[in-house]
Amino acid sequence: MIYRAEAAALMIFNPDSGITAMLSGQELTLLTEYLCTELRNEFINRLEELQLLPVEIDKAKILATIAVIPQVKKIFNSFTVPEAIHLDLTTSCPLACPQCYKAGHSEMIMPLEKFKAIIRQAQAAKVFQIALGGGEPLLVPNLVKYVETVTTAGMACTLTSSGFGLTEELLQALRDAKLHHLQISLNGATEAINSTSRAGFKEALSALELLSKQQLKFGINWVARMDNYFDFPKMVALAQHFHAENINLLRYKPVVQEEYQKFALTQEAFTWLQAQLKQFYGIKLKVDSAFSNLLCSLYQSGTNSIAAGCGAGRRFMVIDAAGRFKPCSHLKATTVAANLVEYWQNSTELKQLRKLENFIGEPCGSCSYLHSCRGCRAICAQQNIYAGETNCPAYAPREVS
Amino acid sequence: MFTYWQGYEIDGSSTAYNLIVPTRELALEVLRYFLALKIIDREAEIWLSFSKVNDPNKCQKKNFSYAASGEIDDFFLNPELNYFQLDVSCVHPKRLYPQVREELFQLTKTRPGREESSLQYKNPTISPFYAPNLEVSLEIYLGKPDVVIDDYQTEGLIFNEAVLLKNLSQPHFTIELVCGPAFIYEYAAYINTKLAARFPEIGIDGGIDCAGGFVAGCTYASNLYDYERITINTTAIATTIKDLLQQELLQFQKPSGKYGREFAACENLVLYYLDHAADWDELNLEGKEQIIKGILAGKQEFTPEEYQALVEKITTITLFNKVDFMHYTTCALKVGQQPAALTCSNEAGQICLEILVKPELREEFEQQLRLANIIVPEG
Repeated sequence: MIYRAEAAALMIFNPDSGITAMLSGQELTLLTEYLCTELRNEFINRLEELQLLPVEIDKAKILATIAVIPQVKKIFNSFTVPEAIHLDLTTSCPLACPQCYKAGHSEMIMPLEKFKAIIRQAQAAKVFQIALGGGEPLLVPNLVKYVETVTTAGMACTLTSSGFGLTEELLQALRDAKLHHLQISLNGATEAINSTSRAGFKEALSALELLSKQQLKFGINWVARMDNYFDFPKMVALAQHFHAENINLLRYKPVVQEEYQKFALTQEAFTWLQAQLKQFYGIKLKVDSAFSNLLCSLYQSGTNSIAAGCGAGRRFMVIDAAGRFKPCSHLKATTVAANLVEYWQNSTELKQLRKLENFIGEPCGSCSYLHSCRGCRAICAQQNIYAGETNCPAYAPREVS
Repeated sequence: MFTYWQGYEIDGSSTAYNLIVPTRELALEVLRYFLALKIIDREAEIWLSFSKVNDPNKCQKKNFSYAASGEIDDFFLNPELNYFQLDVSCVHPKRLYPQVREELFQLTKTRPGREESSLQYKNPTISPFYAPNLEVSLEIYLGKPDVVIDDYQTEGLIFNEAVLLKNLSQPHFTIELVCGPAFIYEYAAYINTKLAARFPEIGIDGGIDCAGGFVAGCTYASNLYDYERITINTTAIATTIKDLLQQELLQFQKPSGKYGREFAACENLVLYYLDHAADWDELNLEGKEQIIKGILAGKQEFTPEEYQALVEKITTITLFNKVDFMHYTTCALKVGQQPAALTCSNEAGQICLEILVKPELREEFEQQLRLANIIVPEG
């Protein structure tokens, strides 16, 4: 369990369940009273049932964290440190996917010692999650040691892969290292559909087959594009066949080698996909933060602006294989800083991103979903990073009172 | 404030979260907790009514057993859901676990004008002549958030008031708990109190009804303290009834008047809920009613011996729970000048004769019973 002091709030994260919570005001008082007096109440029962307060807790440690809260300086529109860090272990990958947004990078692997130094910083700052990616992380020598470094530091560790190189032995070793979740990238239920945007169909299926026979939680990353969106129902069936925990719907973002407009969902395709999402039960459907427009149009104002919308520089950041910092994997600019906390708290680039709503371009500026969406910065960066999304299929103009 | 979300960072490029948004997850958490409350009847069916955003006027219905209530989650999480209503029944006061019953009695202290009530009774119960309506509905419109209310005036029983006002001042969803006029105040207070303690981030307006704004005959007309139960230790039911009659401690009564709400003296015991059973329309009878009608075989009045035989026969019907048993064996009486009732309870196969009297008569009536050598447990 990680307990972190934020400005006027306590954050709790359970790495084993993936639940993050934020308490302030009366709820924080109730927790504090319980920790001091041991007198239970219904709210404490609830925290326990949500796995946010284990039965065996270090009360003194939590109280010490709560005591620090008044001294925490608020960061505008953000937490004081990231909830999660996306960390590229390598730029190398044996596949040459048509939609790869990292193509053309020189081959590089983050050295384990450098990785350990970053994880020490993250642990000290009380970052909750480390999401490992690449390149193809499964091919990184000593991958298990990278995972162990994260999990022994008490954080959640997840990994995204094409499935290339996953063997029964490696999977067992990753489980032993307490990897929390593995996500396999697959864009089609058939090789023909998958191959228009991704390579490695057989490897992905082989990985899913292996995963379906053991206990590690896993899911499928599916990028919605014009050449595969109609295949979504079959993808759901495939995911259910392999007992995947989720399908994560990723928004297609610009890449150098493809013409963006050709593959980005049209209004019609977006609406069709939205209708499909309402049909499926029995599997968790997730969306990436760039797809917040899909979430908003599904639930209108029901979304929570803390947990929804572009989280680049607000909830997460990226460290590439060279150890450089940036707000999101899809943004080009990188920054070199002394450490991740300094970057998170002092970077001019991140400060600007957090003020985005104040000067974002149209149509986002007049959209009723602005605060729970904020548009995808990687898509807008084709014009400029603070532009509005001109072809957003979910645009809903704010009512003028 | 308390908010939470579940999910791992699972993609190397950006964060991800469930399609189900926190607002709806919180409402689902409330729904699950509501269903798990100890006053919700696990033996009764749960009825679900819902409509979808694209066809809000078309209401669909579905029923679930309590054991299958987890299936309701799928309905609730569907983004197409516009309106959602869940109808459940609460446990009859006679079937409550003692600990829950005690908790309910303690809640009487929160009712304006009734603060001392719970202290004055030994074994209170609801009226034997008035069936409580124990159904309660949980309703929510999810299509669009409710409009902002900036100048809300609270009145009545309010929980988490600051949060209530804050939530109302921004787009919000309202979960409405609806109960009928014959619901029980303590049950409503129990639901409100438990939800308020569990969910400090939710404001609850219990309304003026909960604060004593209405009187009996309107909201919360069923009263946990209408009668006192006096249990008589005897296996010889018929003999004891005859003794009571002989010593003029009670008189038999039967329903009379245009609506059957008045009483008239009679020679034999008349089953209060069954005096017209012979006229019941077979086509509309449920299982339990069919069985009891069959047992009666057209008979309406019973001597004490016949009554004892009937009670023993009903004991063998496993379909009847303890509330059914008391319901069907209830006969109207008069004790002093007040209405009273005679009934039998069945606790694990042990039949007990019970006299239900108005609370103000209890002490005197118990003394009279003891003087007549009829054993009444102390306390």
